[in-house]
Amino acid sequence: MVVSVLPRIAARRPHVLTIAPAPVTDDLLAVRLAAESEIARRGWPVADSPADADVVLVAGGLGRRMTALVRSVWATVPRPRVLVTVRSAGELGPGLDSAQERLARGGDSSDRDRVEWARSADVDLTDDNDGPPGVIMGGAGAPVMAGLADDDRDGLALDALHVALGPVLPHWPAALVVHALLAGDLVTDARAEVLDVPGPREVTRRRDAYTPDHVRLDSLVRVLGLAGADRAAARARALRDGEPAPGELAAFGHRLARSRTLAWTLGGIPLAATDHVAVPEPTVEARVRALAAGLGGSLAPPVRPAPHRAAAALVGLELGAARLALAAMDPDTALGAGPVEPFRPAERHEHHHHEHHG
Amino acid sequence: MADPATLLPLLLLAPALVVVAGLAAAGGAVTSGDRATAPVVETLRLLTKQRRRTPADDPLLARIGLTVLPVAAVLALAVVPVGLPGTGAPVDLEVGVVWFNAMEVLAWFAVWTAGWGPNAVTALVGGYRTLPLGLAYELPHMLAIITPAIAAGSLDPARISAAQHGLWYAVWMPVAFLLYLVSTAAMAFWGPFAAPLGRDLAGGAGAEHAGLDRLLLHAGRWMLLVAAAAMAVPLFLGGGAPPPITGPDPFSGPAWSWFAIKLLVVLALLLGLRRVMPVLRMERFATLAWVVLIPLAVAQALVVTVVVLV
Repeated sequence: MVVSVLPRIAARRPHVLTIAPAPVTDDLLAVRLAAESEIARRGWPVADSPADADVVLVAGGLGRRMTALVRSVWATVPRPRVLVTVRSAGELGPGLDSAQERLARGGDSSDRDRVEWARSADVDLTDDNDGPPGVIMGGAGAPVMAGLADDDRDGLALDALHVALGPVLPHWPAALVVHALLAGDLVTDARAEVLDVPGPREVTRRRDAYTPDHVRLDSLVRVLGLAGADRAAARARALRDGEPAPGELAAFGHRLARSRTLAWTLGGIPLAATDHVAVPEPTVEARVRALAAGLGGSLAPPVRPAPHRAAAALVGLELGAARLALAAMDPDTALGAGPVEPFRPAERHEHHHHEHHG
Repeated sequence: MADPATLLPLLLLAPALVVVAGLAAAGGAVTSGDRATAPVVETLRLLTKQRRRTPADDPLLARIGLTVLPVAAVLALAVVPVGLPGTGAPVDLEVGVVWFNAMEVLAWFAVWTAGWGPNAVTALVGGYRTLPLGLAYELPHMLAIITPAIAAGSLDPARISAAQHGLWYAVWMPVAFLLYLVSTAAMAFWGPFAAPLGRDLAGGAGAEHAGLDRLLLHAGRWMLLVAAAAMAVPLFLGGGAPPPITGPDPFSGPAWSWFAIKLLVVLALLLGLRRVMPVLRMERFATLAWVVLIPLAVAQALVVTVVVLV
C-alpha cells in the first residue's frame, strides 16, 4: 500500500527538463513559450540538470542532431522518469497530465522508453548518428579532452578543457552549443553551433505575433533567472505570457532599471571582449538596463546577435559571467550557426587562432 | 559521559535538527511562492529516486562529502546552549565557539568533494566556488563570532549568553550581529550565497547528484543554516533568557521556549535576506567582503575590545 502511495505523492511536484529545438518558425517558439508558461502555472519546478529531472519535455519536433542529443540526455536521467513530446501548444496540458500520471505509476519502463522513442523521433533511430558524439552539458557523457592552456589569467598553465556547453542548461538559448575551451573556469575560446540549423541563414518572423516587449521580457526572464532574482524573473515571465497593460510593463521596467542590488551583482561584465561587437551595449548591466527601460515603450526591438557573434563575446569571461553575458545578449538561434568540427588534440594550435564561423 | 542522562540530548539532537531544518525549508518554500508542503514532497521524491553515476567518477569521495554535511551540522549544534537544564547545551564545552567554527568549516570540504566526485565540469566549477566564498565570508564570520567572546571574556557559548543579562549583544554590537547573519547564510552556501550550487552551472556541485545524494546535499544545507542561526541566539540574543525589557518579575517561561522564539526570529531575518538579494557572483562578494565587511568587522571588534579593557 505504502509502496504505491509514495510515488503518487512524489509525483505531485515533478521537476521538468524542457528541451526545445531552435525556433526557426514562430510555431516552434510558441511551443517553447507555452511550455514554460504551463510548467510555471502548475507550480512545477524547472530541473537544473538531467540529474534533477523527473519529466523530460521535448517541446517541438526535433531534427537528427537534437534527437541524438535527447537520447543521450535521457540515458542519464535517473528513474523514475517520463519522456513526453509535444508538437503544439494545445498538446501541452494533456501531455503533462499524462506525464504526471505515468510518473505516479512508477515512470516509463525500458519497454515504454522504446515505444515513446519510436513515437517522438523524427528520424529512424537505427541510423546511428555519424556526426560528433551527443553533446551533454557539463561534459559528463561526452569525452573531455584535456590539454594545457598557455594564457591563463594568473600566468599559470592550468589544464584546458574542451567542453560542449549546452543546449541542456537552464536559461540557455534553444539548441545552441558553445564549443568552449576552459582554463579552470575561464573561457579562453568559444565557437557556436546550432544543432540542426547550419548558419548563417535568413529568418523572417510575423511581426504581429511577438512584439518587441515579448522579446525583451524573454531575454529578461533568462538573465533574472540566472542571476537568482527569482521573484523578478517570475514577474517578467508572467508579463511575457499574459496580456499586461502598457503601464504595468513600464512600471516593471522602471523598477528593474533602478534596482541597485541587481545592477551591483550584474556589474563588471563586458560584452565586447573581442573585435566582434555583438550588441550595442558595452556591458551586461547596461544591456539589462536597456532591455528594462525599453519595456512598454515604442522603441524598436532589441538587437539580438547571431550565435557566432555572441559566442565570440564570451572569450575572456569566467563561466558564471559568460552565462549571464550570453543570456543578456540572447542570440537568435533561428539564425543558425556552425556546424563546428569536433575538437581533435593534434589540431589544438589551429583552433586557437582560427575563427570558424561556418 | 557515562551518565545516560547526558547522552539522551545528544541522541535527540539529530532528529530535532532535521525537524527544525524541515520547518525552515517550509518557510523558505512559502517565501519563494511555493507550497509549505514542498520540502516533504521533495524529500519523498528524492528518496524514491535512483542514485546516479557519471563516467570515470569517484562516488566514494562525493558521498563522503555529502555525508559530512549533515553530520557537521549536528556536531556544530551540539555545543549550542539550546535551553536544556544545566548549562543549556547538549555538550558542555569550554571552547565551544572554536569547536562550532571548526565544524562549520567542514562544509567547505563537503561541497568541494561533492563537486569533485562526479568528474564533470559544472560540478567541479561549482565545488571550486567554495574557495572564493570561504575566503570572502570566513574572516568577517570569525571576527563576528569572536567579538561577543571578547566582551564576555569566554569562549564558552553558555557563559557568553549569561554575560548578556542587562543588554543583548545584538544591541551593544549591532555590526557584529549583522555580519554574523550575512556570513551564516554564506557559510551554509544558501540564498544570496548559493553560487556553488548556482543555476548558471546547472546546479553546480549538486548538478550530477540524484536521489539520496541530492537529498543529503539539500537537507544538509538547511541543517547547517539552522545550526548557525541557532548559535546567533546565545552569542547575540541573550540565549534562553527572556528579553531584558520584561523586568525583574517577568513571565520567564522555560529557557528552551525563549530559545525557540529567538531562533525563529533569526531564521525569519535570513529568509527575508533571500527575498531582497539576488544570488551574488563570487567576484562581487569577494570584493564586498574585503573592502567593506572585513574593515567593519575589525572596527567592531576594536571598539568592543577598547570598551572591555577600559
